[in-house]
Amino acid sequence: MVTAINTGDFKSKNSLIATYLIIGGLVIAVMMIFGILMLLAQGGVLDLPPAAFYQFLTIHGTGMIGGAALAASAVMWYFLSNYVELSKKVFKLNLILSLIGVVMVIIGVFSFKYASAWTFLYPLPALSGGAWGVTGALLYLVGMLILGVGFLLLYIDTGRAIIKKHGSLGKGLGWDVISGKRAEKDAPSPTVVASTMVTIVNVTALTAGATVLIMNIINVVNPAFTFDPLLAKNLTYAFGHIFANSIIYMGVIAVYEILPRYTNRPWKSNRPFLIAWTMSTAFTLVIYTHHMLMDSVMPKWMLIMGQVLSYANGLPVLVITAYGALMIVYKSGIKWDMASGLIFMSMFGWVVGVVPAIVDATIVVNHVMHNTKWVPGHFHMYMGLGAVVMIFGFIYYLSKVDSGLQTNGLDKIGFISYTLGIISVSVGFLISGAISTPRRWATHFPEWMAPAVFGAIGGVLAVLGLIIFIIHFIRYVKVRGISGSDINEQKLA
Amino acid sequence: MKQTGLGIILYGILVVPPVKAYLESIMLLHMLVQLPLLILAGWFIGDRLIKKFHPFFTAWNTDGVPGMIFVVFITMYWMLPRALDEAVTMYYIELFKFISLPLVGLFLKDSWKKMQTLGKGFIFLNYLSMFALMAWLYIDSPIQICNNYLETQQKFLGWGFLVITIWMILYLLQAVFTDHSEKAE
Amino acid sequence: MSRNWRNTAAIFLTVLLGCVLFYAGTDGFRAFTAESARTYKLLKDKPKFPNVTLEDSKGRVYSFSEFEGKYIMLTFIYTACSDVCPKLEMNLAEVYNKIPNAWIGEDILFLSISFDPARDDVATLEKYRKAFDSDGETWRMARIADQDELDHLLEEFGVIVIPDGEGGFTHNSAFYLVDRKGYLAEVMDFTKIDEAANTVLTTLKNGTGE
Repeated sequence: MVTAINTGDFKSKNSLIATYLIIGGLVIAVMMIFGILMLLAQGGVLDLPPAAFYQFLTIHGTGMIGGAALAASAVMWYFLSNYVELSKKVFKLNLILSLIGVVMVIIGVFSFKYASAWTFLYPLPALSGGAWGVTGALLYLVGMLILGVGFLLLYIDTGRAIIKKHGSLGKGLGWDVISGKRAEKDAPSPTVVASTMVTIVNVTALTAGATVLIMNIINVVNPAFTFDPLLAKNLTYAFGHIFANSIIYMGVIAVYEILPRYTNRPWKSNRPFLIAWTMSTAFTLVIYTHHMLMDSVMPKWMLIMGQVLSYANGLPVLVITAYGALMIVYKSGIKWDMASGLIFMSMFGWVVGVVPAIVDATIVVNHVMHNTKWVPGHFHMYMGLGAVVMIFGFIYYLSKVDSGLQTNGLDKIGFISYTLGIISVSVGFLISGAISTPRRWATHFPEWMAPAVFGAIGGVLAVLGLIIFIIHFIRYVKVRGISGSDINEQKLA
Repeated sequence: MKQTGLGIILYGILVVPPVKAYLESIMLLHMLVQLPLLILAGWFIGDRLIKKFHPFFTAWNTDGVPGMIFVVFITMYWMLPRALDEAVTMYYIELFKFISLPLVGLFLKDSWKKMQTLGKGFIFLNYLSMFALMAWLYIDSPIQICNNYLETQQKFLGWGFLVITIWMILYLLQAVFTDHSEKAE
Repeated sequence: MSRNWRNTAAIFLTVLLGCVLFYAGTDGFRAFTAESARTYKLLKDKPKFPNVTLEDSKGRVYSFSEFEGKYIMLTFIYTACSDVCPKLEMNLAEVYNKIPNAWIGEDILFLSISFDPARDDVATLEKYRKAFDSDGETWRMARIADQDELDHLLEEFGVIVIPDGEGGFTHNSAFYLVDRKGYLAEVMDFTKIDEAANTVLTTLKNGTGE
């Protein structure tokens, strides 16, 4: 039976999760608006000075990754804490540090005109050609560092907890099951496996990121200290790519946890599942080199490895998860509602979003395509239709089990509006890429404008959909503990 | 008590002028031998002091965090190229070195056992990235960073840092991938 | 695990101490290397150029005080140097060419001082002068024969010279501008030619417009 203390625990856990999700959701919505403004400017509809465009570009990228990572980490934390003992203090600390970091980034970008894009590629922070000063660069870089510190603490804690429960990170990935030392039925749950993977790749990414951020800070403060730009680029993408990539691996935990609850069928880790996750762990760590395919000075073997492994990167997990999702739903008599619908749709978005990435990861194509809008086309589909939809699915799931709040027709409209919106945005980008429109350009030739305007309209639809999701969630937060059961998660099937 | 004696002997050896002069004549020895040995001396001597002033340490360094902050700041200061240079040319910086670093050892000893896994892990990863950065800075710098040391010495030191970084990564990998199960299941 | 007020106070205290240490140790986050600290200190102290005796490439011997009333643009070199000095002198020549003729000789003189008097005798300096196309009048090459005088000057202007054991020296390099009264006015990065030329021009404009 649940004691009174446990009730309080549950309440405060869920309210912390809700805070994460609301902040994440709002940040994503605001960043979408910046995205729309940029597309309108490129489409010739809005007269935006180039300097402002690049500030928007910077905040859009930083905010989207930060907001989505924050929300996705809440998904991971919510489910992982059912299996291992996590520290709520650290989880709260991450939120506080993230907020401090975000505020610094915002001040740096808008008050001090910092606009290096979220990749802050060395030596750009120090060499702005007068566009921004030392203060702006420092605010941004230190803000990112503080954000990174928060997340690093969080992943140290998940790593610590997993090791404590399962013995080692290797066992968290189920290596003893793969090697046959342990029976499949005793394998760690999919949530633990995914969390272990995320812990490994993100601790690596954040450590590399800290190095390259401090390096940039040193260079900004004292330009006489210079560093090797190629190594800087390697570290920057080792940080940026892995961290951005990890969002979907945190989000997918929602798939593993929610679909079984809807179908009453367990999602078990079997040997192929474990092998797939181990492979994706290894690949995710090394495939950032596909960002370097145009750097002719990179060692050739690294580039070829980048190409080959990029094909293989997400595939093991994607295939095993998509197949698993289909199998678990097949003839299960699942009840389709917002949560299960969004979760299922995210799998579709993930599958479809990977295709343009695979095309781009081919060296020959990459030379032509990588600096076109083809690439934003890929990651808007992958993130917008895949990763963040998992988070929205979780939002609806949480509000359903924790309050019994009903969804209505408006939510369905939101679902449709959001889906169509993101598809339009992505298709707009892909068409732009196909007609060789460069990415990251503030102004477009007239023949490039139409897809941008099309994308902007799609963006408006997506924002409308997202606002409906957020309203639903805010309604949930208000009725929490009043209606429905707070402690015992409702039976869904 | 044996440790304390060892620490005092070590400190004594490091203070002897010829030893001091030799270690400081080569950048690598200065940064990666003399400084760590001073910390080690403090660590050894600390054994007795911590026991003797137990109430003080319990009251002011309850969870190990203040001591660790002290350690981080002092060691970061000694990673500034300028500090290394000035220790050679200015007597009071040199004096500061011989006082501050044994204190680092002392507080490190007291704090490390009090801190929890989270804090330890964070500190470890922090030093990992800082050492990687130092390796990068010294190997890669096209300019002479210290006035008292030549560029070749600088590169040499950079490689030293790289070796430490790699060693730390290997240590970390074995720590998280070997079995820590509390009991055999 | 209880947190008492002493522990919390100690945290604040150590953070504060650390910040003070870093602030003091880097001249308020300005100088992270001994070289930048040196430049920063020089500009704050503005030392007077000691009255040394120079011997130039034409064999003339005179004291530095003869230059009073003119700005002097200085570099410290040795002629056997094969890496940084030629670069330093080439850049100095470029700055020289950017200064209008009307000021050259009248308001400003260029001077390259060798810190290797044993090898850089009059003949060697003359050869070096020709190599950089200096006229020997408005841009002079000179040595300071008296080792004590030389050491005193290097000390005052913070030039660190370390013999590398193979006949060469490791040394720090910069452009120095000395004002009409013989006090150090500017220390400039010798790799930034335009910046240095602009500083000199501005100083001259302000200094002649009085």
